[in-house]
Amino acid sequence: MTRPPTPRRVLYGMTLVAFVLVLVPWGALGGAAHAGKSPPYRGTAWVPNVSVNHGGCGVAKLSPKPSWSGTTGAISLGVAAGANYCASTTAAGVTNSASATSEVYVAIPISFATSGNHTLKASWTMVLQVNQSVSLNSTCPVASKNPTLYQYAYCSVDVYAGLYAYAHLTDLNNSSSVWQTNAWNPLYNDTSYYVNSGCYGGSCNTYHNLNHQWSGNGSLSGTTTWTWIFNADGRQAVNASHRYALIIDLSASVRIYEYGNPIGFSGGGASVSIDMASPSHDWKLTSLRIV
Amino acid sequence: MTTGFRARRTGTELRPNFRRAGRNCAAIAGVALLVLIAPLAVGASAPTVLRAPYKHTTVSYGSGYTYSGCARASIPRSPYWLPTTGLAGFSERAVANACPPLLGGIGSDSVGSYTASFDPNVPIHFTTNGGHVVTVNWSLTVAVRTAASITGTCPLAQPVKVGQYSYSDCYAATLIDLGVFANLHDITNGSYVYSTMNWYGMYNYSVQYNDSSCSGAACNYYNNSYGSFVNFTGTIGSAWVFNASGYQSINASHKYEIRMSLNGWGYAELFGYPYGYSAARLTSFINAGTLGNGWTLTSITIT
Repeated sequence: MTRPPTPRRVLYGMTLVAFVLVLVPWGALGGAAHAGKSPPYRGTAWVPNVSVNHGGCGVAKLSPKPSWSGTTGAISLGVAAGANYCASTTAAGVTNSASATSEVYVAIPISFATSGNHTLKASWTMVLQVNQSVSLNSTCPVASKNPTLYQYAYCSVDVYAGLYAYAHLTDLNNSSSVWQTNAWNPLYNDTSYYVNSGCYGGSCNTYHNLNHQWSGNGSLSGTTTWTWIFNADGRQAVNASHRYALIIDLSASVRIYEYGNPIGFSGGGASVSIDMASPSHDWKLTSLRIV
Repeated sequence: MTTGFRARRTGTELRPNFRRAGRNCAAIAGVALLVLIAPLAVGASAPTVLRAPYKHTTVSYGSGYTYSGCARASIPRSPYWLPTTGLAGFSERAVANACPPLLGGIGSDSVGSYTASFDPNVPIHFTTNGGHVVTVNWSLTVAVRTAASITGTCPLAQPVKVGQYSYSDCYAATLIDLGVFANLHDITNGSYVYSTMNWYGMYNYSVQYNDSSCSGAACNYYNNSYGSFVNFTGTIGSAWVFNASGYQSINASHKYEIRMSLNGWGYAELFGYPYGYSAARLTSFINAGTLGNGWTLTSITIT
């Protein structure tokens, strides 16, 4: 009898790692300010775009629902997912899944006093906390030997968290857009772990792999600031008689997918969350400047 | 939650009692895997009728919703299955309102969608080889509704200069799709026996669009609607019949189960360019889980 290939106890406990992601003081960007805005932003509009799905023993939720305040310039949102590894006695395998995406589109009116080349600078600050954990206090049953048939056993878990922020300056009269020259790099982490064993005749092989993209394998918290720069020049130079809007798209997603065949891991589970909503957490548009 | 029951054979009918052999609860935020222990051993010489509680049953659930713009969707009642009674269900809904014209055209696409399912698997143990017929009786009490109230107008594309092009689109659609499916599954070799009798579910789809486009001063208009709405409240009774004969005859040494699935999904969608209908409200909902609604596995008869 082959010993189970999986360590009896595989535990990826995530301790909070706090660090500052990026620090770009917008005041250092230079340039003479011809016009500026800070909260409250008047005449704005926003809409949500959300998705929540779960299957098996997975649970996902928005915590809370996304929102935008023109008064404070703040977007508030949160997503969370969790899935305990629950077994099945059927031959259909085990799938536990949970995912949630919370996205906000914000439109802010921009007016230019003069035609010609202009640069719009949009500065923002984000305070967030991301928690991601995989706790597999369990084993993956090894494939059994069969003299004539190929036998296999498969156990896997995948945990993902991602955060994206984009923006563009759009000319409402002709639908053309100016994109930022300095896109903010998204934050994302995909942690996956699998154990796979196969037996043919009297020979068995076992494969296992742990992969993750974030250093620290899990959680982070901190503050980041950024300034998007939109150069409306050349053929995209501003026409002061046109109406313009800054369109901001902020999206947070979490996902867990667990699969086992024939029965998967014997226990444990995973959880992941992004918090940009608790009292000290949010995404905030701190200023708009036109030079 | 893990719960145990013991079955008692009375003549040729299994009359399960409710002696609980054990309980081990592992609640996972509203989603549970239910396993009843004690296999069902049924004979072949005379009809055997199985009723709730259903033994050694496993079930998996899934549900989700999305919404954007001025639409909202939800799962008011998450999928559930009660093996002690054979009752299962869920409820789900979506409402799409036309957004007012918003800055930058955001909100021109308002979509609410939902999906929910549960898949119970009831093990069946045959004691004799050969041909068998398994009849699964069920009933579904459900309220289903789609509706569209388009009270506003769609802005028309405006004539433009020669060589230029303009257009305006308004689109409204609703959908519900509710179905149940089952097969008799040979766990040992992976083969299936399909039912010779099926209920083909409820499916309703409606579309209305009002589009216009102008190439220079020449404009064209495209208006159409098709499909249908549904407003149904009632009970449907049906059965699956699995004729395991011939090359699919039962091998009593194999493990079998009846794999069932009830699933429902739908949406309410408003789309427009640049802004869509000035006023509209679409609804789509399926209630198969509250206010007396639900799906019931009435009995399983084996001959």
